[in-house]
Amino acid sequence: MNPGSFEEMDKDFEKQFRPFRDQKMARKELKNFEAEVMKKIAAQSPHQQGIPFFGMAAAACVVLFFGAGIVWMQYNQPGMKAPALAPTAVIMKEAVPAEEPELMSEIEALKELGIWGEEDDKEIGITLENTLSDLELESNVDIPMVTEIKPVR
Amino acid sequence: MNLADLSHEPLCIEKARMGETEAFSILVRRYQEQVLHTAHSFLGNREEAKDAAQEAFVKAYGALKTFKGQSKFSTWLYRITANHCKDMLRKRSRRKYEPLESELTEEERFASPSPGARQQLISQELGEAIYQKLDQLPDQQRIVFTLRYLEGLHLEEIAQILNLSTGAVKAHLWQAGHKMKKNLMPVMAEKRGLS
Repeated sequence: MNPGSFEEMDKDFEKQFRPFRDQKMARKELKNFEAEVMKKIAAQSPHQQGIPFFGMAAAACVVLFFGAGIVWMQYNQPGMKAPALAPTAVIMKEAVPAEEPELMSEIEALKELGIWGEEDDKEIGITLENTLSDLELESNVDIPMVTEIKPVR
Repeated sequence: MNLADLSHEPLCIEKARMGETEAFSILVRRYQEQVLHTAHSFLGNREEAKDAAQEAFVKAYGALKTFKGQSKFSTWLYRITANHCKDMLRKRSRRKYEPLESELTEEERFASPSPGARQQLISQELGEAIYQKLDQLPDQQRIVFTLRYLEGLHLEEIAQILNLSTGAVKAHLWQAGHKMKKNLMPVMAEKRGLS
């Protein structure tokens, strides 16, 4: 590049375009401009709308995911029900603490169906000790013990 | 925020960075004319330029945490505006040239209470011709040319905005200038001769 010719060209363009860039913008072009910008920012701000909406949407997704899983497994995969139900039961326990008797009866029903096991009891904190104390069993009740194991033919 | 704070730009930026929208609105007020002018220089259409300028401010607000103060705030804003307009130019087909309304000086108002239809037509045609030729330039050449001649920035400022060396800016200008001289100067001379 020839430096002399660049300077010349640069000066020439500067002069040609001066009328375009030196025009003073009319005030009315800027009317409401700032307000519009701030409105757009407020609409995007997570403090105003984003997080609550996102939080609710996420919660709905979790409920739908686990709910659909339970329904599907109850009807299609009896052998795999317990692992899928365990985390759901934890969520249920935390979400509905006041309705324990109802929950226990539901668990009993699930046990009868064979889709609730000891593992699931442990997951939600039901142990033999808790159950005994909850049922107020007396300590001197005779519980038959298995002393001999016979092979099944 | 008290009135004394308003003139202190770094404080405004800091407060806006912490989420004080009132502080950011002060920055918007301060730079709205510059950003709108730049957006119009890139796009050549009044309504499109307003949208682009507003979006540039929204992007700037979202990116405030990345502003380290190594360059001037205005340079950083130019960079955001230029990038946003570049994206818009890639996505859209060219709109009709529509100038921003300009404020007449007292002298102009006295000489010509309302600009003649002929004068307006020539100005419109000239604007159309300029943006038609600018559209034919590669992205980087167009940006450099716009910032230099339609915005009137110095070579060093353009280099800072685009993260280029001054030499690279000159090289882009040289290439863009040759194409524009060949295609545009005869049209400009003709239109100016008519006015």
